[in-house]
Amino acid sequence: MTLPDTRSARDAILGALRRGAPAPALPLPDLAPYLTGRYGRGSIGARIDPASLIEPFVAAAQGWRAEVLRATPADWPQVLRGALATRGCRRIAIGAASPLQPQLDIALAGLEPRRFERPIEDWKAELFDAVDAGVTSTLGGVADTGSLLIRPGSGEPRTLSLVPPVHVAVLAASRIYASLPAAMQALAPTDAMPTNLLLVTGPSKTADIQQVLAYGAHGPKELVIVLVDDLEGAA
Amino acid sequence: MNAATESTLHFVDPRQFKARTAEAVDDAHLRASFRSAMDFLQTKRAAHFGNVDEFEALRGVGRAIRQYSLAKLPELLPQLEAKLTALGVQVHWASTPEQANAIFLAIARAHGAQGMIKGKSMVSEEIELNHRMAEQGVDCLESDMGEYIVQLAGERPSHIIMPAIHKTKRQIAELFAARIPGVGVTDDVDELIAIGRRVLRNEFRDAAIGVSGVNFMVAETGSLVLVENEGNGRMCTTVPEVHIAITGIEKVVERWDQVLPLYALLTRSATGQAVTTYLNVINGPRRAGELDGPKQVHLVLLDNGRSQAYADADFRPTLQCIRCGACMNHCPVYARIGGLAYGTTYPGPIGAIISPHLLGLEPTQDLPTASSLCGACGEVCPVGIPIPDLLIQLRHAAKHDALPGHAPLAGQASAKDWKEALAWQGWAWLSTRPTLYRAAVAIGRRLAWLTPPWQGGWTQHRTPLKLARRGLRERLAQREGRH
Repeated sequence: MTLPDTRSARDAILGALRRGAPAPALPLPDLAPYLTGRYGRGSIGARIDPASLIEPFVAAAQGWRAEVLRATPADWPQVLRGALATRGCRRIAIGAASPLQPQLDIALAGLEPRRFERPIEDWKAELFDAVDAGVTSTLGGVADTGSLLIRPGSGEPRTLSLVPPVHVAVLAASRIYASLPAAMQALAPTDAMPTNLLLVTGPSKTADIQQVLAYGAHGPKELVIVLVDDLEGAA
Repeated sequence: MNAATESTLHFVDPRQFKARTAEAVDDAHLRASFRSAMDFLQTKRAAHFGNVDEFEALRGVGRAIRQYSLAKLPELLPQLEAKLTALGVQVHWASTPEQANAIFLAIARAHGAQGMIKGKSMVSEEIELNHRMAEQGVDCLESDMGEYIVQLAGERPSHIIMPAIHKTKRQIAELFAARIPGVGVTDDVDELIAIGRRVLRNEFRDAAIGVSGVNFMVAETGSLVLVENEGNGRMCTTVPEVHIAITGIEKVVERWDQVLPLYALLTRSATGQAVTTYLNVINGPRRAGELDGPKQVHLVLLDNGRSQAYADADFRPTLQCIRCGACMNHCPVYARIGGLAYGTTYPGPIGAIISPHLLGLEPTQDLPTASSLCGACGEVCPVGIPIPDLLIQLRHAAKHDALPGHAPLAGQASAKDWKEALAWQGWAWLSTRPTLYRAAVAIGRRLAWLTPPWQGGWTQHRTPLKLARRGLRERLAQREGRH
């Protein structure tokens, strides 16, 4: 494959920038006003008790039109199963190595699980046109915005939370943080960035037609969060 | 691909700005559309930034990050390139739109691709990617709902965040019915979106190449960060085997933690959302063992005049922009004429300060004059760009030679008019000679009856200018004499 050699453009651009007005050396920006303000709650100092964050998380997620189903560590497979049954979902895409196993298999018994174990090219048509829902784990949640932090990978590929019309995400209450920077600091160390890191808040939406909000633009039409209250034993 | 890609609309000349402005102002329908859209966006933003101190604190952080990043830009870009290359991303540089298009075409040819599916990218509008590729037989299909509508209509985006803001749902319904086979007229927005979803879903599935813009790049981690609500950005950057990202050289920050305050500012300023549906952080192509994601990722870094803005300390703040659109949402001129009148990729106040660097001052000289200098744009800018000051400087640069110590901009002094310059010089000369000035004014008053009723552009919308029978000085003298 021969692509244009753009090194001369590179030299021209960097040369022009270096010749540009001498930039004063600026100090590293102080993020404290952001981290200590309302947008950075809990990112400095002690961890905010996740038990106090459950209700705000649920309210915020619902505000973005996500459905939140409360569950216990024992009954979450049934709750998940119920969410799929209500929507008539039978073909369920799951990761080949989901952290939700082995319970996930129990939850899907009798349905038609589709394990993501081949490259997407091998079953694109089925994934796009025949799968009813995708189920994924989550890395954590953000109470202030009702967001889910998702780190896809070989065990749970990226398209699971994107292509099927329904996305069911399982979140442990112990993984809820107050704000986005607090969650990022705790859960997403940037020295080993994964190929893809996602913050997902509610189902796909658009307001491109006359500012009228419509859901299910290109991504999932529905986001169901199975919130597993795992704090009881931990406390 | 489908019928959407047939129509091509080439660059609209910004020289026609004034004529198009007159047309736009006469279009009551267009004005009503924009007025309601701007009110909607202003209200949504205001709900987040009601507390001025909080806003100022957050904006201070955003401004500091952007200024810091720009000051380090000549170091950050090679650092970003090295990190991306290590992750397996192919980095390409383009000084001009032509060079950028050549890269896209070469990648398409290398993969034997007949088309590309596109996520939202204003930089791709800047290089007119769709038209240039169409000339070479490569179809680019827009997948952002607003961009798809605009492409289907053969138009340009009229807003950088909400591209189809100038169209009503009725117009969109008729457009869909006319252009998409098997679709009837419906003005139910959910149904319209479902139609777009159905058409574009097949394209996501089948396209060999996905194109996207980038909101932020992180030099230390080699991350490409995309902010969106619809999911088409994720589709374009995840499903096709090849992903080509294009962005301007200014969009880089040094560290990952610097992205979060900018994200907080961007979404609240743009659409009044605390977060978007998706924040998509991409760190290279599919790795060994992974089962989806593109096998190749390319990044095209475009200059296209940005280094000119960078070179002048006065104009450098232009590059702080994070493309939220708040300046246009709050601009009384933009709200009345809409985005299409500008004829440039970026409309509104940001368009007026960036376009002269991208296109030169000659064709864009009227744009910085399309402002009452009310200051709203500068007030809401989430990264503190002094937009009104930059408008004034560009007005000056269009009419005058470069000031000492400043390199001339492309098209510097192109609006210079020797008659106007002479008139001002004469006025300055006269005004500094009080005796002559008083004599000249006295003569002028006697001859005021000769003032023509038609005074060029001025009398198009205003009553003629005429010297008063008695001047201010005379009236004051008389009043002081009375006391």
